[in-house]
Amino acid sequence: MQLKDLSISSIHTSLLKKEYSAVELTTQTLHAIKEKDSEYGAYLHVMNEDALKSAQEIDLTIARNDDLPLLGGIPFALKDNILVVNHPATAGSKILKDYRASYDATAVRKLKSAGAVIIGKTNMDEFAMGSSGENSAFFSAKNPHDVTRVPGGSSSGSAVAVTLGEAVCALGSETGGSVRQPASFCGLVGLKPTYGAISRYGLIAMASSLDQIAPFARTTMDVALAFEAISGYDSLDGTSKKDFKFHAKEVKDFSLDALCGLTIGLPKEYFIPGITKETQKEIDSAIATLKSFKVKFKEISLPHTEYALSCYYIIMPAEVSSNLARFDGIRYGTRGGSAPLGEMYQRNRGEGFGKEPKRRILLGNYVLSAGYYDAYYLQAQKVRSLITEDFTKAFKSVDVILTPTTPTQAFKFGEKMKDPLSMYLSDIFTVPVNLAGLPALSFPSRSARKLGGALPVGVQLIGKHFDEATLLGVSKWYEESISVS
Amino acid sequence: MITGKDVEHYAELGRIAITATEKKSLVKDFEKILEYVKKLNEVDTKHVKPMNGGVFFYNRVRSDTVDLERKSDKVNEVARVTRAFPKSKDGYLEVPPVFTE
Repeated sequence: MQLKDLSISSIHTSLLKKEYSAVELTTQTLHAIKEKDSEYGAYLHVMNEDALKSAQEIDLTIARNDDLPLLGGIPFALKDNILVVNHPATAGSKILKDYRASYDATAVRKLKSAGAVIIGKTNMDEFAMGSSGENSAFFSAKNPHDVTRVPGGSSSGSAVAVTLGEAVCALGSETGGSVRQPASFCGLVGLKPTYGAISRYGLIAMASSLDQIAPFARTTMDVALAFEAISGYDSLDGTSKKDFKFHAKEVKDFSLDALCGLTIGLPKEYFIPGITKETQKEIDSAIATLKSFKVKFKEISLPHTEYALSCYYIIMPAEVSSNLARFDGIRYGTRGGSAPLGEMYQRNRGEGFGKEPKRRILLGNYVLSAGYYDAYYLQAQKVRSLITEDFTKAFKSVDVILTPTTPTQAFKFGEKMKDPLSMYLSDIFTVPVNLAGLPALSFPSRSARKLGGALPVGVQLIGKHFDEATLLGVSKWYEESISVS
Repeated sequence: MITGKDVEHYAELGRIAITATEKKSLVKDFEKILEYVKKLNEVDTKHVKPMNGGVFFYNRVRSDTVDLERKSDKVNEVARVTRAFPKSKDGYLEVPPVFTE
């Protein structure tokens, strides 16, 4: 079996036909990680024993001729800020290097009960802060398309694991593009769901009003199936949507008629000179493919787009400064020495946090300070309303919005590390969606669907609240059309 | 203008010890980032309400009780939580003295 070519449905069929067992699939996946992962750095922690144990249970289910759930035996990777009981959850930070989770995140509980095999925890930018994976306190994951380039971030390891076939699906988390951007850089499908679609219980918080758990896979249907398994109401997350339930069948049944009836908006503010030629060419080609299906396109305007990144870099650090207060070496983290309490906090946090979390905590303290609160934080919250209104207005005349996911393809290691602002700017097309709580998906354009070809380019589709099915439907048709041509 | 003293103050509020080199580079980063975010002031927001959350704007409350039905492993639940403490004694979180002479 070629791990990189497997999909959820192909595995399901093979398991039922007994072409291979769940244990064999898991063993081969673990073997691939052992062989290659030191070169690519996708995993921080591999769960050999537990993965094999869940695979054995799946094989027993098959042997008994009991119903095999669709996700039964499917290898999943999880970003290291999602809790799995009894396993480490470092969030890519030294301050949590000895922490072991005392409970399962709701998304993990759901995956386990759907029979998924959890392979391990993946590398990430520290506390999900970064766009390249270079802020990991341990080591940087590398882009399988070109190891001199970054895989994107902050869910760097999850993207690399799926690209290499070291997992079929992976969960990452999104605050400002941390799944769509690496999906774009690695040539994967990544879905940032509507705020409230997936429970955040057991996700280490970065900026609570923006965070969402988000799935990666190599195909649209696999993303849809992963999303189906982990979405839905959870009383343990006060921001979880009460009556939402997604069905992957809506994507499977998304008809050509439904596709042809769509109007897709092209916001002029997203087609800027900063976009590289290669990216623009791939976006144009994706638009042409969709036009050949008679999808209608329309130029639209989202006038407050240029303020989104500024808005994000005030609201997000403000929330970070409060969420990261708990990592003090007293309740979580590593406690060193026996200094007086105040000094102990300062030392634990000074030594435990890397550059980027420090930068953002301090920035958060600044924008929330007396005297600056109104000028920065309150103003940003108001501009956030205007950005959201822009989308609401646009969705009166279009069903979906299409943009590049990122202005450029994967960049080189070190290229943006010296200048934090240049790193922040790589999220310019993904951040507005998180501010407005909308769903958005990145799918790979035609050029680089296979390893060893050109560098991938991601096409972003933005949808109405809880209309993930339409985004996945469009992506499914695109994928089918280019696989036959 | 952001000074080294300002950065020190915000680091103290965040209970983070920073080195002199860190302080220097943070001043530079702050200047650049604040210069960039300044453009928010161009936006007229006189009649705009702030969006102070994700999407939904109401509080959802629940009773403050332990829901044991949810817990698959009731006995070990407490042990697992206390094991995550950096330091513990008899199942309690051990903290350094808050008041010292």
